[in-house]
Amino acid sequence: MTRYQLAKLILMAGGLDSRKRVQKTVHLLQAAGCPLEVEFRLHYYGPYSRQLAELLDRMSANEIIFERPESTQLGVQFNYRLNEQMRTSLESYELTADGQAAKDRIERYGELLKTLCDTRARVLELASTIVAFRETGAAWENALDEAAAFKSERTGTPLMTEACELAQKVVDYEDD
Amino acid sequence: MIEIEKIFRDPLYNYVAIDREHDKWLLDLIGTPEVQRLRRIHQLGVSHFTYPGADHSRLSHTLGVVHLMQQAWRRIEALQKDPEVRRAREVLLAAACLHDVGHGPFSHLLEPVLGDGHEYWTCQTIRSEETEVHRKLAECDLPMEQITALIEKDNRQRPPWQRTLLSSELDVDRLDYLRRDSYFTGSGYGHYDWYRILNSFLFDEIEGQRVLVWPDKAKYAIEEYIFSRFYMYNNVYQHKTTRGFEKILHAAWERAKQICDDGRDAWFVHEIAEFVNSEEPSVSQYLALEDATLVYQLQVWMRHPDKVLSDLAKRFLHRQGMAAIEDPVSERSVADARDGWEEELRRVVREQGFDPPECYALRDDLRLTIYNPYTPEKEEKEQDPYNAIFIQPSGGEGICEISGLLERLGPVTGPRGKQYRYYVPKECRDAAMSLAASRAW
Repeated sequence: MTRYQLAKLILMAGGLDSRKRVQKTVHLLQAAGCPLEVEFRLHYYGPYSRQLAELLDRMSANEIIFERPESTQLGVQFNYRLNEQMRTSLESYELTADGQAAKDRIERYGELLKTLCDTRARVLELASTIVAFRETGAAWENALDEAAAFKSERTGTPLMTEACELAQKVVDYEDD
Repeated sequence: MIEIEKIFRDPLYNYVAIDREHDKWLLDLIGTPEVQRLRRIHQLGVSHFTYPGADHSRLSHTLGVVHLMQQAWRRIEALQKDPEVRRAREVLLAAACLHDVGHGPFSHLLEPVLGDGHEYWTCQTIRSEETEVHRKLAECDLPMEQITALIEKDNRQRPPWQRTLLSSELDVDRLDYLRRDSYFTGSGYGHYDWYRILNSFLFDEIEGQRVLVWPDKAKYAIEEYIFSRFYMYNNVYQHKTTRGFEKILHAAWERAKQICDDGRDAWFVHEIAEFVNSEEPSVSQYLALEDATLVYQLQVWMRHPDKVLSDLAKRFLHRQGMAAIEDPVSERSVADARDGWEEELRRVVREQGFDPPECYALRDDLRLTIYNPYTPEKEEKEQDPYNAIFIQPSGGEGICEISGLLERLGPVTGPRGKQYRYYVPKECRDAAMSLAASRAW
């Protein structure tokens, strides 16, 4: 994943709150066909990429994105925004031929990104886990069962149904 | 009279002892041709080009991991009476013994060019009916799927505490190799109180699952371990000379493949030809590749009529390394000037007479390494038993990740330094450095 791609996603989303949301959003966009080239591994809470976590840290350290810690009931979470200067820099890059091509590749996933931003973090986590099991070659039903067992959820609950619908939408996205 | 224990002398632990009667199965496993093959695989790849003492084998590391798993098991026996936990002994020891059995020539060296990593081949070796390892496990009725589940990347079938012991941020594998690699390289960074780490862990629960945590009193031993890991990563595993020879070998391999694609004969030696020409190489074809096979291949390539292939092979075997050029590309902008820099670097290399430049302007992606420093996730809800080391503070609060407890770990657990490095023939060093300094990339 390039610095441009992550900065652009944060800009298009109007900011991304929590690293977990960043992880699951990138995973689901990639599963939908967005060419982000991030390697994920299945961790305790679902798909997780150390490469992406490191990119967030490096871009924050280099002040390309702005990281703000926030205390929540679940502990400290980190929220990400793009500052005005970097927004201008990003727009200048998009005027170049390479930048225009990169912009086109990512903007076609704008609608899906909006859906993901409007989705609760827990649902994102479950949908991302379902997709991860699907990516291992499991049939749809099996992926659902495995994800539910992995996340200690029961299939058929409103939460799992919502996650399942989102996962289905992501997997079918390229075909739409 | 037969001694009760089979003893392997070891420079780190003195005695690695295995009970001849109770654990005969384990001795039999160690005696299989597939495990014995690890004697002929360098543990540290081509690090002996930089550290002449680093000639230790994957087998010595394997025995070390078995020894540490035995130590950890004593702790588990003292802590847990649950029969379900106690049934895991054989699975854990077998996984410790076999966890590296799928390593190829010079350990990780060829993984980027061969495609599948050693975990894949380890699991294939266990599953394949053609191996002695498989037959031995079947004979002893040991559950192969449980063993591979502990070794396989991303497999979460086994309980987290078992995975933590064998494959996590603080596991018996790392506890052995950091000290062993430090000892044999002579670099002296791998000193930490491993005995305390292995004899103080406790069981706890996260979201209803049994996990391993360490008590407050172990935090300084773990701190030492994390610092050792950081020093070894920077000074040994990422050593620019060693990495440079790895890049030369990858370039030679790619050149040979290109020769094949052009319809010419790349002079692959028999074992390598069988492997590369097979659409789905078998386990035996893979295990036929050893350090010596690759060295012989390079000796053959030295005589190859293709001047580039022959030159790259000579550079490797005669230890004529390339010059390392630090990455000049800035990370402070959204756009990435890397493509432009690399194109210019190739132009400079070609102008100096090295053609095709793709074989001589080599990029090393330092992120693609097996060895990493400890970098926990910052957000509590993304930390888990697989990417964090948990401490149970003495005050009775809930468990927390260790860097949240010891602030001085901050500088070694944050983002790593530069992600890329470049190599060019020494004849091109000055021109490449001038190019790097010629403008802001």
